[in-house]
Formats: sequence, C-alpha cells, structure tokens
Amino acid sequence: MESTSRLRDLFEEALRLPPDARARLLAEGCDDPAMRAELQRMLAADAAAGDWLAHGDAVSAAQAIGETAPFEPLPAGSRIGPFELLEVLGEGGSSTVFRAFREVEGVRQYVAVKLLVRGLYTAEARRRFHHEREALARLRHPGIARLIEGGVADNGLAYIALELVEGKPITRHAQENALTERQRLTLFLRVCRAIDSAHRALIVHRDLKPSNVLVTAEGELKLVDFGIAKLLDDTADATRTRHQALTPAYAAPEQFAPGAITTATDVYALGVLLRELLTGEREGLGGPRMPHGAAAEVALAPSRRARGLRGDLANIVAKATAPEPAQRYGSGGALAEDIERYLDRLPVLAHPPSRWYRTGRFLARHRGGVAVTAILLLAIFASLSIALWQAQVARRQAHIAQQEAARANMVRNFVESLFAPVRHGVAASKQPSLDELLARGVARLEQSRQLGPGERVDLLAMFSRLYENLGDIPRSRRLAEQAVALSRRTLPPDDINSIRALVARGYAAVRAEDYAAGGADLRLAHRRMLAEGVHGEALVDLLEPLAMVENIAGHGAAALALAREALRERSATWGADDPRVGIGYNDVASALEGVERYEEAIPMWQKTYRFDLAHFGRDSNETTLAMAGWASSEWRAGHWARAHQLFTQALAGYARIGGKPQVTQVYTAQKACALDGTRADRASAAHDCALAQQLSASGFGASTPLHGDSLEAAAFGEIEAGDIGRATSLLLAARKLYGSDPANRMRRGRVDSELAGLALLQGRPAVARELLPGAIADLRTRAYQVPPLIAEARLLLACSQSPGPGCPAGLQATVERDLAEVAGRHDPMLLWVHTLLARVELLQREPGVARTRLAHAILDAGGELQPSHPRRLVAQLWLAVAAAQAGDCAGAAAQVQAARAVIDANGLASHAELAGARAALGHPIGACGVLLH
Amino acid sequence: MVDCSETPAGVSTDALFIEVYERLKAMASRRLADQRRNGTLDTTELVHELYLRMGTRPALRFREPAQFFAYAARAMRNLLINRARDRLRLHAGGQWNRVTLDERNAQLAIETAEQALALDAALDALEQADPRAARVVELRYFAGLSLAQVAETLGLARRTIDRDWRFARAFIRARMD
Repeated sequence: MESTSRLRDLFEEALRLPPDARARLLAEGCDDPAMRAELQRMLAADAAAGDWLAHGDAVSAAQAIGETAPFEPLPAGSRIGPFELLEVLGEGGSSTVFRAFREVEGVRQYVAVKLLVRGLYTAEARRRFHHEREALARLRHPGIARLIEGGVADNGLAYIALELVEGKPITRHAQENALTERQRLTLFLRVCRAIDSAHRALIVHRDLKPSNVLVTAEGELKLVDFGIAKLLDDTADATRTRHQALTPAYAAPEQFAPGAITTATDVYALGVLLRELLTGEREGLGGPRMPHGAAAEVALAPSRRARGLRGDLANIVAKATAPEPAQRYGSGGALAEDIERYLDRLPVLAHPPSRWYRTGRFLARHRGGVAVTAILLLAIFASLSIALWQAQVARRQAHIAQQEAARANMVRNFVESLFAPVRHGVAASKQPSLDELLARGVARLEQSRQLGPGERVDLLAMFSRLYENLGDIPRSRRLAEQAVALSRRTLPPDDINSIRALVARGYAAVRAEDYAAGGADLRLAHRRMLAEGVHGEALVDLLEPLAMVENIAGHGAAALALAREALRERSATWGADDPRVGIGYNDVASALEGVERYEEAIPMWQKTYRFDLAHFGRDSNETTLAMAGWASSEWRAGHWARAHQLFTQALAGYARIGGKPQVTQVYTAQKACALDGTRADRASAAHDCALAQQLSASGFGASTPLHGDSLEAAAFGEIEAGDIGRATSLLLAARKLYGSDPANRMRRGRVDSELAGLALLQGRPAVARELLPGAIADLRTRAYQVPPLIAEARLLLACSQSPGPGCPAGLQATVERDLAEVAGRHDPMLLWVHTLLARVELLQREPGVARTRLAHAILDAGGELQPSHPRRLVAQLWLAVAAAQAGDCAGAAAQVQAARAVIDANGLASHAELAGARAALGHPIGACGVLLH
Repeated sequence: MVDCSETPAGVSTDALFIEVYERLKAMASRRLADQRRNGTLDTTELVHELYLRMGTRPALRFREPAQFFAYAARAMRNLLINRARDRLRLHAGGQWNRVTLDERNAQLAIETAEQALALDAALDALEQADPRAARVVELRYFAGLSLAQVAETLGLARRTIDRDWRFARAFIRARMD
C-alpha cells in the first residue's frame, strides 16, 4: 500500500511541475525503476488527448460488443485435444462441460471435458489455469472426480478432462428416493468429508452447488467441477476473485468483495446446500445481506435462523452460513463433526448455548433413564457456563461478543476444574455426590483468586439457579442474595451480570412463593434488560415467571402484555416455526383467559393446538394441554357442547399418553366433571368425576386441596341431579381439605357459595346470608366474574326473603351493575343469576320485569341447556309465576303445561331445584288460581 | 478479516444485488435492441431508469442512493465483462458463432471486448492502489454519474473527485495502452 500511495503522491507532484522538471523528480524521488516506468507511462497517458474512458461509457461498450448467444452445442465429433466431444452435460459460470471420449489403445475412455468459457487471453489467465490444473492433480479422493488431463487445444481453448461422473444432483437424488433426514445427513457427511480432504490439500472448491455434488446410480457420491479451485498458498492471487463466475445463491458474501477466499467459503456453500437438501428450498438465508460493514451488526442477531429448519439443524446451517467467515465452521470436517454430534444426539457446537440445552441432549441420549450422576452434572454445568455469554452476545457488536466469550471461557474453565477428580477416573463408588459437587463449587468460588467480580456474580447466579432447579429453594435464595449484594458492591447496575443476579433472586423468590419480592426483582431486571437491548432466551426466561407473578398479583393486563412480548421474543429468537414458539401462543391464550377475553383466547388456543399438533404430534403433552386449554376457554365463553367434546378428546389424549397422572390432566378431568355435572349430563359426569377423583387421589394424595377440587367438582352434578345430601357432603369434604390456608381462599369461596345455594333451596335464607358475604369477597380474588355474581344474586334473594345483618345496602344495584358487565356473554350460568333476580322481582311485585328477564334469559341459555335441564325448567316455572302475577293466566297455564310435560317425562317431579317454584304455583296466584297441583 | 466497508467493492451480493443485476441485464438487452431502431441510449439514462423503477418498490429499498449506484455499477461491470468474455470466446470458437455481425462491426466488437477486459484488469489493479479512485471510475463509467454527481454521492468535494479521476484515468490508460 505504501508504494501505491507513493505512486499517487509522485504523480500529483509531477503534474504540478513543468514537463522538463518532471524527469528530475522521478529520478530523485523514485528509486524503484518499475514504478518510475509506470509513472512515465501515466504522465504520458495524462498528456494524451481524449481516451475511451473519458468519452465512452459502459452501455455503449456493451452495445458495441453485442449480445452473444449462450454456448452453442458443439456438433458431435468436434475435437478438443485428444477428445471427441459428444454432448453438453452442463454449463457453469466458468465453463461448459461435455461428455467426450478418446481411444486409448483401442479402448474407448469416456470423460467429462470442461471447456473454460473465459479463454486464456492473458498471461494471468494462463497462469491461473495452470494452477487450477496443478491443484486438481493433487486431489485424490474417492468422493472427488479425478483430473485426467488438462491443456490448451489448437483453437486456443483451455480444457480439463475429468473423470466422467454420471449421476444426479444430490438434492434430486434425495428427493427421488425420499430419503429420511438421517439418510440425507449421512449422505451430506460424505460431501463434507470429500470437501475436507480438499481443504487439507489447501484447495477450495468455490462453486459448490447441487449440480456439482452428484450421486451415481450405484450410490457413489462425487464432487465435480473444482472449476474455480485455487491454491490457498497462491498468495499473489488470493484476493483477486470478484469476476470469477460463480453461482450467486451459493456464493459466500466475501466472494463478492476483495477478501481472502478460504475454506470458510466452501463451508458457506455447504450450509446452503445442507439447507436445500433438508428442506428442498434454496432461498437466501436471513433476509438481504448488507454490505460488509453493516453485516457485522446483524451477524449476531439471534433471530437469524434458517427458515424451514428447526432446532440444532437450523443452528448448524446458521453457523455454516454466518456472514462473517470467522464465525463459520473452520472446515468441512468441523461441519461434519457437528452433524455427527447431531446424529449421535450429542450437543452440537452450533447451538446458541441455552441453559438446559445440553442437559436435554444428554437425556435424549439416555432415554432409558439416567441417574443424576456427576457426569450429568458436568453436562449441566457446561451448558450453564456457556450460556453465560448467550445473553450478552445477543444483538451486540462483535468485539463485545468476543470479550464476553473470553470471559465465558474463563468461567467454563473454573467450572470444569471442579470436575477434575470426576474426569480422572475415580472409581464410581467414590465419585462425589451431586450435593458434594455443588457444595465444592460454591466453596471454590469463594476462594478462587482468578475470578473477577463479574464472573463471581455470574457463577453465584448460576449456582442459585442450579439449586432452584434442584428444589433447594432456601439455598437458591441465599446464593442469589449474595450475587445481588456482590454485584451492588462491584458492578454498575446495568451490567449484564447485575441483571442476571437480580433475575436469579427473582426466580428464587417466586419459587418460594414470595411474589412481592420476586415481582419487584423481575420487573426491575426486565426494565434493565430492555434498556440494555438484551434479547433472546434470557429475556424469554424472565418474561415467563414475571407474567406469572403479574397474573397472581391480579394484574391481568400486564400479564397479557408480557405474554405477548414473550411470544414475539420467542418468534424472533428461534423463528416463527420453532417448537418453542408454541409455548408462547399457549401463554398468550392463558393470559387472555386471565383477563376473561375468552372469545379471543379460543382462536389463540386453536393456534397453539395446531402448532403443537404439527410439531409434537397428537399424543403429546403439548398438544393435549393445548386442547384442554381450548376446551376451558370454550367452557368459560359459554360454548358448553363444544367444550364437552374438547374435554373428552383431551382426556382421551391424556389416557393415550399414559404414565403417572399429571396435574394438568387432573385439572382437565375436574373441569370436565364440573361442566358435565352443570350440564346435567349425568352419564358423562359420572365418568369424568370418578376419573378426576381417582387421578387426584392416586397421583397427588386424597388429603390434598387438589383432591378437594375433584370432590367439589362432583358436587355440581349432584346439585343438578337434585341430590342435595350428596352434594352437601361432597362440598363439606372439599372444604375440609381446603382448611384455612390463605392460598385456598378462592376454593372456600366457591364451596360456600354453593352451600348457600343449597341452603336457599332448603328454605334457609339465614344460613345463606351468613355464608355469602365472605364467599363473595373470596371469589372476587379471581378474575372470573360469573361465580361472584351468582353469589351476589343468591345473597340478594336471601336478603329479600329474610332481611337481616350482613345484607349490604344497595345490593340490588351492585348485582345489576356486575351483571351488566358480563351481559354480552352467552354463559348459560347467567340463567342462574337471572332466575334469582326474577324471584327477587317477584317478591318486589314486579312481575312484568321478572317475566321479560326470564323470557330473554331462557332464550339465551336454551341453546346450551337441554329441555330437561332443571335450571331451564325452574326458570320456565318462575316465568309462569310471573305471567300469572301479571294477569296473563293463559300464558302462565301454557308455560306450566309445557314444563310439566318435560318434568313428568324425565321423572323430575320431586327435584329439589324445582320445589320452590312448584310450591309457588301450588298456591292460587291472583285470578289464575292454582296452576300446578 | 478484510474490512470491506471502505473499498468500492464493498458491496456484497445479496438478493438486492441479484435483482439489480437481472433487471439491468433485461433492460439493457431490451433497450439496446430498441436502440438499433431508436437512436442511442447511454449508461446514465439506463441506470437512472433502473433507479426510478426500483425505487417504486418498497421491498427494494436502498439505504441510500450511494448504495444503489454502487450496486448498479457493479452490475453493469459484470454485464460488460460477461459480454466481453462471451464475445471473445465465440470469436475463438470460430464455428460456434452463429450471431452474424458484419465484418466492421465484428472487428469493433472484438476490440471493444478486449478493451473492456483490459479495463477490468486495470480497474482491479487500481482498486489495490487507490480504492477511492477506482470507485470514482466505477460510478462515472459504469453507473453513468457525472463527476459532480459522483462527488455528491460519495459526499466528497468536487476538487477531490477531479483529482481522483485524473489519477485513475492515467493509471488505467497506462496499463491499457
């Protein structure tokens, strides 16, 4: 560079001098004769008038050259060197390949003759051709087509004769034989191995693409057309590559810029090829690439993943096709090794290290069941320590990432040193236990002198998370507290390790159910992560517990916003089609349910379900859980028949999955039980309720609140069946299991409200009045608005029947207001509320209002309630009472008659729910007399 | 690692580049065919037309005009060099040449093709010697910008560009002659 800028300096200096003074300048100022000669030519050129460059332009030159047709097929029989050409096999950017033959001692030898398109018009071109031939001559690998001969034919065309390979492009071979992923990968490994052998000979293919990677009919794999291969040690030539004809889709970014072409260039093409081989698509990776300077900024974006691929394979492709050569695999061999790791279910290097990733991989390899051994712990630790850089690396610049990676290495070394005794063949019986290893880790952390405060905070947070995952919450909290304290003393608050310490402390607090403290830490960590631009898995990991905390704190809207943020982040981090995105949909659906937006939750559950179905199959926990969630939202939205179907399917799914009862399975059975009971579907309820009780008792114990839920759920069916005795004993048994634990407040509220309802049926409004105010307050601790509304309506009726202490003033207005809030819903349970309110109105001598209310309510709920449903019948009977009180005796009689037919046909005459209305109709009402005997 | 951001060749190929190249090729082919009937077409016109067309599609956004012109110049250069190579190859192949040109035009075509390849090689050398000067040549010759526009696009003083241009011309011509 120095001599060239000197060239310009001298040139410009000379221009300022009169022509005769220039010679002296050159003589004195330039002792390099070659440069002096060049300067003289340049000065002469400058003085000459007019030139092509100044007056012409590219388009007119292109026009003068004219358009040329692509390679015309040579007539059969044309000769190139000793070869007779037969037909064109293919045309590449730099050459056209013919099938050809020659006679050698009477034997016909078929070869592929590659004619170089560019021709050898310059000395440099001839030199390059020579190198190419030399390179090829040195290449000997069964997976690479052999060089037979090379030369310049009589007409000046350069040619290379290669081993003739008659095969199909690898992608077509895979497609036509419908190869499995494993078969494709195994085949691809052979490509990598062949390339690797070339790389070890310092030869880069430079133009890898499916048509250069052939599979013969015998299944042999051959790489052809090392057409633009060049010796890497040909330094003079190493940067001059731009006008090499190459295939843009497979060309690495540096092939378009004057950068060194290295083995990484082939690795890039291998990555593109791998993706195409696996997905059948060959599109650009990660959107438009930018000029190099800008590329560095996007190179580390964690969202950059090969579309259409998932998990490790996507990561492998992403690493192979990283815009910066230094970030790719170093060679075809390194890429092959990572694919082998993938095939062997070992952790791959390309994976952006995630907390449990390696553990997961390890477990996948040992599906038979693996004891928690020191080796497993090693895997956990390795994952943790590498994960340390993950958060920081996200969307930061390369040099920062490098520093962080160096730090992560230091941390990893520390962690690995803990395991020295384990790795050096200590007898299995003498290997330290998990607890000992962790304790040793913490102790050494305290003593270690090499670690700086950042690393120390990092490791403390890591140990905290590890203990948290092992269930030792107190120790987890203690270590996290230490991490936070240390970070406050030694690091700025926005340092990534300070943030990590906060997150660890927040997690531990949440795990200890200290939601206030946990929420405070997590919220602060969230703000700082956003301010620092931390994204990816670290952020997702934070958003989940935070959303849970907000939900528990009753901040439904905040929880929903966080769930949405987490979904976006998942999608951006892993790609929209990654299995991990399914959880994001799931969480948004749950959050929508949490704010009672059931109609919006339903399509989100459907999305979750379809997503999980596609990724995990029908008989998976994920898919079944999504279906259960979907069922639940349908139920809450009042689509009972649909909900019933979905619950049934979900329960069948759990049954197929088998294994130990899962808590979500219990919930599903309980909901199905409650729904079927409420629908008065006695057969289904009997089945579901028995299942719920069996699952909760066997899986979690018959004395747990969870089992109480099962008992409580069964009570709904008994109420609709009219068995007040059984319903009462189930509810009391449940209440006993709930005890006085504040965590069970809502459960007690539910039971008390139902007990009050039963008391009302039995004509004991005073009992109801006692139970309900507390029940309402308890039920209000959850978002679902219908249960407290029913309780309020019950209290209103109890107070109307028997005024007394505990009857709040303005209760009727409160009920009306709360009812108005849910009036838009089609929840059949609203019929319960309307019936109670109508009875209050009848007591208040407002039969017209009651009549209208009931008529509408019956119509609304009728679609989901079968005609024999007691709630429907009782509403009809009260409607008859209202009609009679309003003086419409004919209408009342017709109403009674219709209801009575259904009651008699279904044997419901003595149903407890109907007793009150029947009694009212058994007395004369105004001019209508007795309507029901 | 080579830092390519400062070199004129620092445009990487991506979907955008391929798009520019394909469009330019199609336009040039079509317009040059028309040109036999309708008079002349120059680089400036062609590149600016391309710019206008591509600018109307939001998916084909360029961060700035400089980026577009750098791409267009690179595309034009590829187009010219490919044509030149094709032409010389056909010439060497003799009997393969089914495109009929009259004798005078054929001679001009060959000479221009040879010049184009020589220019390309000289420009490569210039890129090593003085990247900015090479960029000026690219924008001037291949993207059809005036020197004033080159100065504006690169955000440099006109005087600087004039000096670059003078050096570049002498450098290239010294190698081409």
